[in-house]
Amino acid sequence: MFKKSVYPLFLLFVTYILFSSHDAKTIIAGIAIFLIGMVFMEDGFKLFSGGMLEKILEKSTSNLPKAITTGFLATTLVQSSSLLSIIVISFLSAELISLSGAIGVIFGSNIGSTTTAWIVSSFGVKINIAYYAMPMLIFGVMFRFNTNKTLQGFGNILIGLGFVFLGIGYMKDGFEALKSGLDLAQFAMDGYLGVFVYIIVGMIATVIIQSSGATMALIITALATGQIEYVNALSLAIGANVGTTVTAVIGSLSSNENGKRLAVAHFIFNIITGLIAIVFLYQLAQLVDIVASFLTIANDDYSMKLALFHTIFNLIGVLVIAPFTSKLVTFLEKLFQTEEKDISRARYLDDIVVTVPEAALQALKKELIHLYDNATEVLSHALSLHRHTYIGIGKNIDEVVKSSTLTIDINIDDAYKHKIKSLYGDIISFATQAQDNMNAADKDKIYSYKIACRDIVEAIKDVEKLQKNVNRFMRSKNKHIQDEYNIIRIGIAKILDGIFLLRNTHDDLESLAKLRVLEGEMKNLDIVQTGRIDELIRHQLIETKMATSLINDSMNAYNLSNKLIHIAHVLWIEDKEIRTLGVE
Amino acid sequence: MKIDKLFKKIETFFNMDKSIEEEKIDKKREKILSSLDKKIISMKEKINNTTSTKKIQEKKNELAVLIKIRDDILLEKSK
Repeated sequence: MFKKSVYPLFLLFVTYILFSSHDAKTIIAGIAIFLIGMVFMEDGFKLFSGGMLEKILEKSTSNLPKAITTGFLATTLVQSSSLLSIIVISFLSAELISLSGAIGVIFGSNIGSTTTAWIVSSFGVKINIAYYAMPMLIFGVMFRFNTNKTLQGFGNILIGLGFVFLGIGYMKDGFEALKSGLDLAQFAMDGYLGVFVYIIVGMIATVIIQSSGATMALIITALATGQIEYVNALSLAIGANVGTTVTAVIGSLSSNENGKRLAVAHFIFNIITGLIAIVFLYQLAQLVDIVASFLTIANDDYSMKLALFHTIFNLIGVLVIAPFTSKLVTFLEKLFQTEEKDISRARYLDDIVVTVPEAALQALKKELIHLYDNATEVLSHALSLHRHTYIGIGKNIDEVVKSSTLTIDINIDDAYKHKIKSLYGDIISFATQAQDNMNAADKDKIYSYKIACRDIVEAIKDVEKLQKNVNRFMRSKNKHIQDEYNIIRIGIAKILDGIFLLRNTHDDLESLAKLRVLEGEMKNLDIVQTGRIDELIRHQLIETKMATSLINDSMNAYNLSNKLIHIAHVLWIEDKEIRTLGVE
Repeated sequence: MKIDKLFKKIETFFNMDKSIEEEKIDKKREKILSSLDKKIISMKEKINNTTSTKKIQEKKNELAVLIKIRDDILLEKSK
């Protein structure tokens, strides 16, 4: 409601400024061009890296110093802390990294994002940066139309950089022209009143522009053209830092608990860092002067000194807050507790994960295992078995099955609706959305996951056909039919147990060998092929009606087992080529 | 005449593609063979170090599967 009414007013306000002041129009155009440049750079890096960033993040966040360094380097390289936040939240949701690792990356990312200020202050305001923008845009567009994805990505990065440079050029021109008409420096304020006013202005500007990088570029160009005072620029920088977390917190409201935890961690970090910077503003300004003289930055080079201030106060924030990361993690986990989700809904699939192929595949696999586990419960109960009595505990399955003679009253239709159907729907919907951002190899994986998903559902349908006769004949007075139905129960139970054990096997060939052995044992389920049915009929050991039921049920059990084996291939053998070895 | 040349070029191009593809398959096959060899050796060692008869039988079954897969690949390679 608020957004609906404020947004048109905001648009009207911007339109009024655009038509009333030519110089303000140039500055706002500069911001718009700068922002579009950031979007191009982000997209370009996604294409150019081809999932490399995700792989690095997955492997380099095992401890806090590593996570901070990774966050710093990645943001310096990509120049987008928001892209990094999205990847980190998606990895957190897919449980690929820990919360403390993710917080570490965000800490590092905060330091990394200060490099934007260095670029703008060292190149942007000192040289005619727009002059270099044109060749970048021209070559960028040429690469953009190449068929090679990496070159397309490189093209987007060049276009992005070109627009960023062009945007800075426009902002600088706008401020220089504005100075002849309106000198913003007359609004300079001393003392802590000035500090607070400018912090709020910096915050509002960042919330409106939605990018602290763009706000910093605006502040530095205004400072370089003498439109604002140095001390006020420092306050604006603090405001921009706090403002960026307001955006993140608003964005996280619709996110899952991981998104919320990370946004609050970011918020706490920036608020504490901001408070430190406010309290020690003048001492920090002196520290900047000392460090600047070591770095041979001229005393009147305020734009470079502002960039240095931006880096120093973020660095101090990390040094102060990083030792309390474990306490922060405990607090955040208490603040946003993971709800005990209904078992039939997805646990790992999240809207934010869907955009990151590596994380999306991992999340899908975990969810598929979740679906398989639910199905294992339904299958076991349908055969009047409890999972905890035979799966993964090394017991003699023949004995367990023969001693389990109590019928478990389970309605397969209800169980399907409650434990399978919704989750199945969630997986298929997520897989379809995820494949839009994927390459051919990843799409192939998605396809195999979808087939495995369908096999799980069909296995439930198969066991539904078996259930009635299993329960009827497992306690039959006819020993022969009882034995045959127990063979069916034992066969399926052994496959479920064998597949469970694959979770501890981290070698594709070993998993393959185990599955091929299971496949061999599975043949025993086909009563026609083994010839047992002929014996039973010939010697009139079972009635004809029993025999036909048994033939159908043994076939159903065989088909069900085949599907289970196929699911296991997809879930526990990574290498696609190895999966097909030894198929008869 | 020109059309003949063109077809020849197209044929060479496609054959070139095919040979690259075959080379990839060969490399993958060699990699799998080497992994299989290593796995077979380690499995034999495991069998020697296992005391449980049930476990030994399980491992022997798995070993037989791997040896058969390796032999099938070698047979396919020799064709």
